[in-house]
Amino acid sequence: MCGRCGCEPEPLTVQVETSLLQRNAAAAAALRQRFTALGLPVINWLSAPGSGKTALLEQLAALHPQPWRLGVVVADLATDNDARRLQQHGLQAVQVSTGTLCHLPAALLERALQRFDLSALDLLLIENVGNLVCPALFDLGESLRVVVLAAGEGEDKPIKYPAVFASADLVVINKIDLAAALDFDLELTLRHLRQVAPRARVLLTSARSGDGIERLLVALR
Amino acid sequence: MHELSLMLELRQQALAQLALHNRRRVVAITLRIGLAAGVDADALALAFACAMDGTPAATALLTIEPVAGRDLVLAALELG
Repeated sequence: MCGRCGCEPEPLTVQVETSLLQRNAAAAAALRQRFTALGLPVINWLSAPGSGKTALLEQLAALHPQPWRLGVVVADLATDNDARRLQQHGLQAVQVSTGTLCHLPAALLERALQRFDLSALDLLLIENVGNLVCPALFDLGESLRVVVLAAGEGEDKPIKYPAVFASADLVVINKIDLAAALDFDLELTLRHLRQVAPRARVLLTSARSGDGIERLLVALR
Repeated sequence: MHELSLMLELRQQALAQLALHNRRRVVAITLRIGLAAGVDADALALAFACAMDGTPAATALLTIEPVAGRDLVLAALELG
């Protein structure tokens, strides 16, 4: 009201032009600055549930001699099963329970990192919540974004979930040992991938046989 | 449900603008949402209602302008 006659004031139009990811972007930028200052490579590790994210990390952890001091932040809606799996391999692993949240936001990662001595690490891996939709939007300050896709998940997955694949620096096609048994069409998958992520590197791995793990090691460095 | 996270951020930004301009309620909100942003318009509308409930933006009219690309932008507010 205007205070004199009780009328509604003229509506005021404000051109705002701010990002809805503003707060996450600010938190991610602060993290990226910290990681860069430490010279610490940070990997945002993404996939649908069950593609073998944790199994691939177990393979990396089992390499002898261990080429780096590896820290892992594992995000899941609930349980600390994955962190315990990785700790059995001697990894520094911290579990973040996101509760009902479908992705890991930068602010939550920042809190989890208080449990690490980052200066004592050569590589930090962030195993995101198993989800190909929501985590794609949330920058974590990473230096490399990896999306894992498993043979048998469907050759059209890259074009069904274009946002996450388009944001990937590296796409790992895992469970490649099962390709023949599952009638997995690798060529078709790669064609779909190229439509949405023409520049992403591609690696084929099997967390079960250990195939491609050495190449993955090189790519993560 | 990352749409809810986005709408909670929108609530915070809209109410901050309301306080800044010393106005009483948010009448309309215009968002610019990229078609490749990975956001579902229906889920966004539902999350909008939940996030704004009980605030001076509860009755705001939400307009979503679809654009190419990955924009997720609060373009404009109309304040009453």
